[in-house]
Amino acid sequence: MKKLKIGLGIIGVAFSFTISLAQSDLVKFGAISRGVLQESTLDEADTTNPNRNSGGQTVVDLRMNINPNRKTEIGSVIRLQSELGGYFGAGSEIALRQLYVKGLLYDVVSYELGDIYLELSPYTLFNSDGELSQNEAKIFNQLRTDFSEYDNFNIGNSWWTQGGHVNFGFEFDSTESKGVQFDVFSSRIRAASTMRFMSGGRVSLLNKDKYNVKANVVSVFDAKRVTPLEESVQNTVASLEWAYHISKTISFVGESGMSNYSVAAPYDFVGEYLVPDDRNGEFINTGLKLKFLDGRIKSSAKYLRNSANFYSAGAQSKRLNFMGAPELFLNVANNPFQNRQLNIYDLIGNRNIYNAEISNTLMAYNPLYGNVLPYGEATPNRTGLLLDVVYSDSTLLKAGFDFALLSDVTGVGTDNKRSFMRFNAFASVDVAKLLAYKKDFTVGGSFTTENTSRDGSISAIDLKSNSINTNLEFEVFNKLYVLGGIKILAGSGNEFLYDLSDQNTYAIPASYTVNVNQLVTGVGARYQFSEKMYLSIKNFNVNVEDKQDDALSYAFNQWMLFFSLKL
Amino acid sequence: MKVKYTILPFVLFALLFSGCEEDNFLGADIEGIGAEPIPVSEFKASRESVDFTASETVYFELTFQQSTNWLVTLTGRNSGATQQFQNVSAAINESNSNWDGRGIPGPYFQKGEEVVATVSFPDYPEVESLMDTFTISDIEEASIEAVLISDFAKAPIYNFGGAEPVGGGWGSDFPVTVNTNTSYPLYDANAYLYFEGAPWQANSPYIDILQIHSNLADTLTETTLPLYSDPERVYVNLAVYNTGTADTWFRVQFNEDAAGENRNWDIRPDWVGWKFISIKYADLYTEGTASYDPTSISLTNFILLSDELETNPDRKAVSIAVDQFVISFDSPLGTINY
Repeated sequence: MKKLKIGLGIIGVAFSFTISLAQSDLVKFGAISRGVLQESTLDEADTTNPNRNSGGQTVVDLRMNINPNRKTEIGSVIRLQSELGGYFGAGSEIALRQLYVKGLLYDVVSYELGDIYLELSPYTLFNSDGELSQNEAKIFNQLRTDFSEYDNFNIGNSWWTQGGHVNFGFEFDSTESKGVQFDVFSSRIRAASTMRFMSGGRVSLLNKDKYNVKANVVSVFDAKRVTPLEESVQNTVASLEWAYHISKTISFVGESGMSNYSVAAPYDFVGEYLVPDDRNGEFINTGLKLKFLDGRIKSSAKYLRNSANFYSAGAQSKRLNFMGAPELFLNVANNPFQNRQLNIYDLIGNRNIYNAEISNTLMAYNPLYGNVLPYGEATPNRTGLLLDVVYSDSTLLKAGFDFALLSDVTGVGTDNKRSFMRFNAFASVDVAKLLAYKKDFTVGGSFTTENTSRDGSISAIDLKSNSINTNLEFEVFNKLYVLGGIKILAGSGNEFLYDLSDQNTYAIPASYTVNVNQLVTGVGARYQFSEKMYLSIKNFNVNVEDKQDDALSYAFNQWMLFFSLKL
Repeated sequence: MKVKYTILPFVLFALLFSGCEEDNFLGADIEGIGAEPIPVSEFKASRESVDFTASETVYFELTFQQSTNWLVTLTGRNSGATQQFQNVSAAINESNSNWDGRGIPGPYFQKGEEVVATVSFPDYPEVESLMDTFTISDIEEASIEAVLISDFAKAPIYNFGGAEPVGGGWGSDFPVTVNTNTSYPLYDANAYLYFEGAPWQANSPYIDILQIHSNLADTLTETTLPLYSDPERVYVNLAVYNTGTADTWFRVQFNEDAAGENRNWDIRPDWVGWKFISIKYADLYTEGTASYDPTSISLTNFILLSDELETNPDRKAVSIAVDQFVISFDSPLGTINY
């Protein structure tokens, strides 16, 4: 009963706030509000570690847009946050979350300054999706997007930065090209330690009927000599993207380019790090895009080749930080000293592992959750084929598959190269339309399998993982939905892990072996007040079975009351 | 035909970046990991004397019967400065052990000092290390003066509840605090100081305290550290390894005998792996009012705490590793704004 009272209190605050919003042409208000309560229990087999966890918070991100004139906007987001258990102001926080100015100069040049989001191409500046986030059930996906990603500025595939961005263009009266557009940006991308900056831009040559060509360049660099003995790293990537429309159904597309990764020596010779020489890399990703049946079937077949020394900080930084610690039940299995590994539920609901910062070295990853393209299509040292087919019937069915068959470009730790295979198939059916049911009723599912192998004796690799997602979203009564979802991951085998945090240098690997089954079930209900506001109650059950050492197996359960409002 | 003509530049550009394959594989030879080291030649430095100011370098030579995991460690006899090369290969040679005089952040190699080069075998610690020596005839003078207080290899650490070793030792509250842990990558030539544990009482962040009296620091015998009196000129430097445990709070606390006050450096690691970090002595936190006096430091406490009181009341275990405790003058050796 106590939980229910607190939950209703959160709703009351949100309603009163909504009513009090005042709007004018000069100043506009909006808000994103969230209330979360959670109660979690570790399995009874663990008698050593804390086995209960409860908490929650109320958050209101108050957005204010000031338009001093029609061509200028000053925007800010102020966060009001109160942690459950923080009485009389303790645990409460008011913070400026976002501040920017944007506008239009001479009706030609648009600009934005302050906290801005930037994105270019998948090889230059791109925030790739987190592991195992594709085709997941709504009950999981809403927690990921509305909680973990939103709190860490992971919006779409862009990176949050602080800086400036200018955009302008020209139109040509030509039969070959109809316009050219310029984007230029410069930003600081790290709050503490070394002052790290990112600058770059794009020139786009556009002719919608025949082709478009984009030239991208991004440079991530450290300010030199902030401290005497700290190295400064510079990583520059230049690429050309193209799409040539051979016919209405076939396009020749691709992106190709090169990178440079260099470490500038500190000024004091004595005591300097030994650093590798400059490294140059290159990549190509090209193929055909096809459309059939009036666009209901879309497909692409591409060849990819990323050299081992291709480094792109803006595209290879990971959304998930696998060096982060579990937030819920750090210690399990009666072991108070050994932190548990991140499980597939942590990848959804642990906002502390979501990363908002561009890293100038390749971040760690867990091969169990994605070993084929851990840094997205920009993953270094991969070559092979990518294929995908999607059927989308807007009235009933969306289904498709994607397939990757890749290998190392250069051997790692041996002359033998690894082979990678990934296959993913998914389907989502609008059952309501199939059964002529007048409310929403959607079911879906997906299956993904990954396989990594390498010949050798000690260096042999054989790693397999399979994952399954199911989704149920059923509107029982008007606006009241039943939600359900299952995530299963089973993986076994071995790999070798490298710590690349020292300027992407491969040294001696750690041997990695795994044999684990993970199962997460989610059931719940959601009341959708409107398109922008809902209240949901969810129960997640997490089971991790370690088949190498059963003593390390554990399970926990979490109840969550989640309110979301977006105005 | 027009279509083919127009598409040509795109295809040509695509082919331009098809690239060449690398000749050598990346990283150490995995097949040699775990293989027994069987030397078939003598371990020796390529020079008896090296002049780094004349752009000379020195490398090391040793051939094995098969590929194996080896670690070459260079240690300056006077300075305590170190450098390491590690690889898995069938031979130590110029391509994998060439040294141009640079060391890891910490004290500097010095002109005229003898350097001890040892090769050891991490997969076979029971196999005896091989050794050679050479002399640095000249090296560029370091622009920063520094003193190695401790690289935390000088045992023993003893529990406060037990008997103090003959000749003194480093007292600790918690038996898990060791300087023999090698689970994480080494920062220098030997093991680091490792703390691990959970707060041992409710509503207290304290986990463990390790005390090093100044006369028991690595190369020092005086009861106070040999530092400048001006706290604006003194920098404290420490290599810190983030083990990834949440809520880790580590405090380096200097006890000044003259004022009877503590000066504190609070560290909350949020980086990956090792980081060599620094702070100006004058910027250390204190609750006292007396002027800072680095010359009167008689005791340094290394304290593991947990931030969990604020964020989580569950008393979770935290851990941290530290190494290369160095004082420098007039300039930091590592990152200030970490």
